[in-house]
Amino acid sequence: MQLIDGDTDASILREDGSYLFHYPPKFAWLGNAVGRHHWTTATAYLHVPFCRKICTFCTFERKRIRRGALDEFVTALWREMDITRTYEDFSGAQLRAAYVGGGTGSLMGNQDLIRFVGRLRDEFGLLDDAEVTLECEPGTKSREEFAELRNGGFNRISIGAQAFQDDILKALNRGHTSDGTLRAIENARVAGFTNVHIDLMYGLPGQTIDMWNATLDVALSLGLTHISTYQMIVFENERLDRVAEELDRLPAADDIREMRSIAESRLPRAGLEQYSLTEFAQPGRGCEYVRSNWDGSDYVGFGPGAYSRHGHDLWENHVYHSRYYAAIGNSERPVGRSHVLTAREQVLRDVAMGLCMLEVDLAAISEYAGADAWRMVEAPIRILAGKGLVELQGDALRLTPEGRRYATGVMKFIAN
Amino acid sequence: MIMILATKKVEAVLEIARKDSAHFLPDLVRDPAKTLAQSGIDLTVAETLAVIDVVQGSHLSPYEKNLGNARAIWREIIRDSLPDLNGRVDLPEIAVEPR
Repeated sequence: MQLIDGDTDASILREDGSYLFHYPPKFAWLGNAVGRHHWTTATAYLHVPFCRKICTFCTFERKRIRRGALDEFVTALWREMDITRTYEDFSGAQLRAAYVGGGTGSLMGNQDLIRFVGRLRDEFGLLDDAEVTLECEPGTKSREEFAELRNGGFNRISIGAQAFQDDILKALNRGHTSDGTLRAIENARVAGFTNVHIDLMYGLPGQTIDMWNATLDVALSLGLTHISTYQMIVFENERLDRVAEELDRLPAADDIREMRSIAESRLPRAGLEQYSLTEFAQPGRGCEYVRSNWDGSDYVGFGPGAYSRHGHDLWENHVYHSRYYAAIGNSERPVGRSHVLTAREQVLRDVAMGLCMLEVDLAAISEYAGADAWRMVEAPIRILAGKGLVELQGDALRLTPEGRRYATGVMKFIAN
Repeated sequence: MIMILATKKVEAVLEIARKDSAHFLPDLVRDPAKTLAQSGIDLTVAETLAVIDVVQGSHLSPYEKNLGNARAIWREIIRDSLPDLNGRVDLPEIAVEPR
């Protein structure tokens, strides 16, 4: 591997929080079909691709909700589940987690949400003690509705709080206030949810370090089981990148670094252990579904734009709703694009993306890929270790504290 | 190679429009030249013409031979985004009907 030190450092020392969400990159997923798989341990995901308002920072697959959209979506969902069972073998499956996200998962009606979980249990092997999460926008579920969901099989609520300053929320085009977030958390708890999580964001336009500390003050006063902290990422040419007034209001890089450092210091002191680059949880309360996205697990996704993985097979459902509905209407799997990982790609993917969970087991990755992971990653790992960004103990490869700061660069360096 | 890269850039602009159906997409339909100029997206003159061709159904760009996929993508985007666009912009027939 030919490397020039200056260029290497420049490419590695990235602390922008964009990490590595896909490997190989999606433009390399050139297939449009997948084979039949025998599912064993896995997780499940449902993508509800609708929102009441589009947040300024959002790059996920979502559209503004319109009249009739949910009915059309739900009708197609039941059919997609039928089609998936036809093409895939879930007879031996044990799904240890299910997650309803989006878009806004909580825009879906309770009866449909409960039916979805019921079908996962009856037809796809969702375990009785599985973690079952609903992602909620504050204000979309009442206390009574939370209680109905709790009785209907959901046992974890994830609330998109983002910040506890109303002017920040307004600037993000969020559809709720801080009080709305607090009400949602209380309602979920009174309804019986003991596992309540919130998303927070830092590096937001107009956000100061004092504001970030104030947001953490509120969050930590709530006794939550799990908090995620995400750095706002401005992707090139996406909406935020094109709104100069918002770019001008972004905090300085030093302040953003300080905000991350504050979270990594305060949350563990409050009993929330950091178990990934962005996730903090009480002991035993880490999100099983989130882990599965990064740790090389298999997962099956439903809905437009949902991802699935089984071993060396990756696929994404159609992101165009028209194509998704057309495929479903033809009783076809709604696969928009797919990719078959080579052994090398699987190793690089599971090592690089796995480091989002702070540590990977090279032996386990080798076994799953059927290849010698160390042989494939030795060169970049030695360079990264030489720079103090990773450390290797036996088969355990870990990010150092400095490596966590430059995790984006580390992950991309390994994958490239 | 240049043409392949250029058409990829055109498709990337369409993807931006697809993800921002509330603002960028209707602006692009209404006035693609002005919208692209104001967007800050780095496009050459030929690439800009190619995007305009796709949006408006014209055939002025030197990349015409390679725009078939982009035109198909644009029709899908419009089809998917009709609820956001109806009443806000006048959709050229070319946007929703294949040639």
